[in-house]
Amino acid sequence: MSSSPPARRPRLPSLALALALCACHRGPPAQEIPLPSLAHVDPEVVEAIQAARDLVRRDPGSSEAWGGLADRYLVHDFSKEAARCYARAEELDPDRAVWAYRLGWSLVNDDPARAVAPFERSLRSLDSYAPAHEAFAQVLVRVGRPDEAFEHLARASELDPESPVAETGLGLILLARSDFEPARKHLEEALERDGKHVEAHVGLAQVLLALGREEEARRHAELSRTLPQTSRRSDLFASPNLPPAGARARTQFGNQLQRQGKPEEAAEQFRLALASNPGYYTARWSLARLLVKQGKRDEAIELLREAERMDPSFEQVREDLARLLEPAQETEEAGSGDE
Amino acid sequence: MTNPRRTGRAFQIALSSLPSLGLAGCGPGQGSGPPPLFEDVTSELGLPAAAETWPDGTYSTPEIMQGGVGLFDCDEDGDLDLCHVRVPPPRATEKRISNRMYRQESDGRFADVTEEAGLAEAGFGQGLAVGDTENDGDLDLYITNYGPDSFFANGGEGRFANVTERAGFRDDWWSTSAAFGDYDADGFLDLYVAHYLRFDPGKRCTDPSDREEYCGPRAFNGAPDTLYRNEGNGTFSDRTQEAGIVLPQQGARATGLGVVFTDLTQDGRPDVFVANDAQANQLWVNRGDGTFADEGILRGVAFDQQGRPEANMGIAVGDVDRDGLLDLLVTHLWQENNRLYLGTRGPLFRDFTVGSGLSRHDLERTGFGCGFFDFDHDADLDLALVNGAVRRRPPLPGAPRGFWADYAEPNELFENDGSGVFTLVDEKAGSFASEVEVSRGLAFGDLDSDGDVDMVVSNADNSLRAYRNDAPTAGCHWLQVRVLTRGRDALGAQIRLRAGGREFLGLALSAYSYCSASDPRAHFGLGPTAVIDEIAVLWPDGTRETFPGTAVDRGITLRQGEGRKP
Repeated sequence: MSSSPPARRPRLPSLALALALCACHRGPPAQEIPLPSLAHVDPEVVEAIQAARDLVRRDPGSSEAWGGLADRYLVHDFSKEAARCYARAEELDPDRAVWAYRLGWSLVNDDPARAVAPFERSLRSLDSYAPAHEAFAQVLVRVGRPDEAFEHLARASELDPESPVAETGLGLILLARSDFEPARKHLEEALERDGKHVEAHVGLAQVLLALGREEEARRHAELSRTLPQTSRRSDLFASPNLPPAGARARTQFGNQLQRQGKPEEAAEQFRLALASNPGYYTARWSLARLLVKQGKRDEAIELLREAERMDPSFEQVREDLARLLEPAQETEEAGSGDE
Repeated sequence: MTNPRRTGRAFQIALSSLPSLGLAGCGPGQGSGPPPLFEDVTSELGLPAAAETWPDGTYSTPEIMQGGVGLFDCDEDGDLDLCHVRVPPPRATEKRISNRMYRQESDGRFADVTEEAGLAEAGFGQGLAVGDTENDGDLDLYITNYGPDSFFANGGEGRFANVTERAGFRDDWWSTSAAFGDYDADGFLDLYVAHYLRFDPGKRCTDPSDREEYCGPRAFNGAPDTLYRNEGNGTFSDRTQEAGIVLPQQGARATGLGVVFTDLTQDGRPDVFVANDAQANQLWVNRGDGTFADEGILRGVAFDQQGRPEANMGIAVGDVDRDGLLDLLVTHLWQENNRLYLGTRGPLFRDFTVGSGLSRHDLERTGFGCGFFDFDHDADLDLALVNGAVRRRPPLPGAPRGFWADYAEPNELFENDGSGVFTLVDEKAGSFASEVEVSRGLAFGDLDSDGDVDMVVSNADNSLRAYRNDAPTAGCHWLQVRVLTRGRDALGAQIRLRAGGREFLGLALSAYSYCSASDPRAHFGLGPTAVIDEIAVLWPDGTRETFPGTAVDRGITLRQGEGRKP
């Protein structure tokens, strides 16, 4: 019996078909879609990334698909890949300012000099949005262009007369220029707007020391130590609103739901986070705290005891357990810190 | 160290005519092509270049924070010896390991003398501080640990005895950098010990992709630092509370990694500057009555230029812009700039990070050990940084394979143009900047007593790197000044050379960088300046003396009490 060589003819049409498909493919082939190393990444996160990549693959001419993938990368801290995808999304739909804006945000930590241009572009559409001017000003300060930053902060302050952020920024730029008296005015204005704005207290302490008003300076410095660090300003355009994937994102989403008065949905997110990663203590503690609020103290205690059994060397869980066992104790401040 | 290959007689004669050309003929970068300035001579010197075996990490933070390397003359024979503080390898069942003491022999090579030095005791090492605590002429050794610290008294000729308990040290916190200095001007060296975290070994952390990762400082509370007063009788007492070192929030927000102990406020009294990881830095200003006040926030050295805390690690101190005032550099995490604060005539420091040119290069690196030194003797302070990530990052070219690839980074060398503006000279830095490793400690000293400053780096895998300074310095002069008070190094003293209408500011300092101890002799690159007119010393007790000028290209020793009071 002789074996015939494999038939070659059928391959040609397949190749032609493949080439034809490539030709009408408006975007890059799959391998050009940025992909970070996903080794050891939570499977749920990998799945979410794959789903977003599939959308790009299916519709590579869609700025929405590229922006969605970029959003997914951004929330999981793959900022380099996020930047490449936002750039593609912007290329496909230059009128949608959010892509340029998030491109700026995705570059801000790795390469602030490259973040300048996209932030500037985004302002064509977001000119009346104060946080965009503040974000741009922050980058300009980092790259040594404080004069331009000053103009954007002035505009932001005008646009949002309630916010202390821009006034603080103006004061800090003037402080760096040793223009102490004008700096003082802006920093005091910031504190008029929000007396707990820690950066304004810090700046004002230095300004007052330079002006020879040492006692007042010390008061502001001391006060700044007692205040919590200012959290990043809420910015609708900067933060992608994605379905959570992975223990960390689910826990954050759960906390958000809890603040919105949705305890059952929050608990569900915490449980899903624990199912994804039983060792993720922040989720465990968040759920335990919620259960206590719901009067399910025993269930909460069991949840922490389980953590103790998983790792007997875990000191914090013992402290948290002690808090839960004290009925009158306030449980809000305990638990794991920010990682 | 001068490369013997390039010091033939003909070469020397050719260069001997250069001083008359002035500064233009002084320093590197002259002539054809940039030669490498530093050469890795670790093996040549008999030091361990490679870790025996180094397993993958276990995401336990203490295993990646090791930094200790010290250069000091432990046996008073006139050359520098080396102490290497080590961490147990990840996954080791015994979480203790012995440090290593290497004595420099007459041929310039180092011999392991750990056992005979009495330093074989095991621990979980982090850093070290070196100083003569009894004014007996021998340098004693304080080892910081993740766990109880150890204090070794030097009985002479480099033989140490553990006298931790007898001396009154009871330090069980996770200690990192420590610095000796005489805060109460009683003539005896006191000790400041920085503490990092109240670490919980059971706590596990993840990154935003839910991959397990080393926990950062925000996952734990900080730990208050400790100030020990030397009672002058071989014992120390904890004066932390009494001295007012209680902020912030009783230490909950103090996550100390770097310490410098010298006068930073121009009042003649030694202050303490502490770099805190992800928290405000502290500048403990010495009030002169045994107490301190933290003025880090007030004076503008606590935060970035937007008033926010950064991941502060190592500290370099020196006068980089040649205005006669001390400046501070603090190293940071990648995606943050290493920050340069310039001293001013007023009460505030000025953030000069962007203007210095440093911010163009550092966002891709996590800086730990650092120091200003004039590697080419062109009369300004250059900068060396050692790097290594603490959070996973995309591997860099040249990184080792495997687990540590995500953490390895090259080191950096910057050249100062004389005004505090720096240029990255990696291509000229030779192997110092080409090896991609997880580096932590960095100590400076003239290993072969040839007048220029060499470097030793410690890596997180317990390997060492010694870099010989081969920078061409023809036409440039130098001076090393040792300042003694009561027969010991006057740690924290500030030395001003006046020459040719210029002033050069130097420091007698051992503790800076990260968890490391350098040779405290002040080293001056002088450029073409060939004669020193006068030397002024601010002693740690606040008194000042002036000494007559001297010839250059030599080491001199000045003793307190032998100068002229102003």
